Amino acid sequence: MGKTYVVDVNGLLCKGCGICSEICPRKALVMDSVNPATGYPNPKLVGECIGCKLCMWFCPDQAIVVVEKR
Amino acid sequence: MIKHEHLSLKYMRREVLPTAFCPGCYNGIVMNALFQAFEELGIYDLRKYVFVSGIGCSSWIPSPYIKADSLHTLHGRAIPVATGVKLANPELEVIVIGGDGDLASIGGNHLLHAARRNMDLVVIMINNLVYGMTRGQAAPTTPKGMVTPTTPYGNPEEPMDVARLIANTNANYVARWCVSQYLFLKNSFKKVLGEIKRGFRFIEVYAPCTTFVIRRENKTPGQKLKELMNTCIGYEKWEKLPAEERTKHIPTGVFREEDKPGFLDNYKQLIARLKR
Repeated sequence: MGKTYVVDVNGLLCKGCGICSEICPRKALVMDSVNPATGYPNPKLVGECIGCKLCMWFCPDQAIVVVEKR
Repeated sequence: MIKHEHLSLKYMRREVLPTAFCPGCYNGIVMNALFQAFEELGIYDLRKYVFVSGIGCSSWIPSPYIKADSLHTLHGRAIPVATGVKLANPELEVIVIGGDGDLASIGGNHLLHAARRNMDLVVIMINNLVYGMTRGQAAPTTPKGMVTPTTPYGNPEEPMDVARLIANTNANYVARWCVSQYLFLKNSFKKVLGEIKRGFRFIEVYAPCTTFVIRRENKTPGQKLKELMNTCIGYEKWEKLPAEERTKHIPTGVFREEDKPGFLDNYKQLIARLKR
């Protein structure tokens, strides 16, 4: 127990489709402010990430990575 | 903080990113599953692989996004070209990626006969239910009653069940998975790339078009993905359902799995017999 995870979002690849925030079982991701570089909203981690990696697998633009925090 | 990278990116050409797909297009998820299968098999060098595609949105996956040799061929003719590549150099593993409009409608004849010959190819067909690249006209795989630009009062035709059609031919491996069944899809890719190394291996991926199917239903790609987790069920379970329930569900699973000698093995045997 006690593992913590961080979610890393590549803002240049993200197209703001919202699959990650819908699929997250803990509702920990929200579509946040619009990225000025692309014009799409990017996800932001607000809750606790349990590291299921669903958002990483289901990201169609390879923009989101879940990594264990050391 | 260290910048981390998605596992798929090491198999992709970075200079062409971001992809040209619509926001939320399920093609990217199929790519993730394919690359994760490669990674779990320990294949990092794709020099022994050739990707062949025709015309369509899903045919964009190999060229330009996969960092391997790829051939972008005529509409519907991906399988004949792939057959030529495989026969010219049998050392190569040839993978065809295409959509339902490319492989099942215009190239349907080629698909059937490659399966009949048990040609040594891996064919991944991404079924998005419509002709997505030309603005969503009705395809042979469009479900009955669906409204598209060419069928404004609902599609009167019955759809074609491509995976079951190929399962009735001589193919070695036939499976259909929904894009929401990510782990099954990835394990199927692992099976056809690592375990069954010969014969015709066909995987259909059910992935409705984000723009011309899902947006018409007033849903977001995420909502549809969660809905698909309930509507896609195993075919044994599907067969037990009453007839009116069947149209609402999609049967998935492995329809055929064998390890018969493929076309090349039979051809080599013939050459050896004639040389004697």
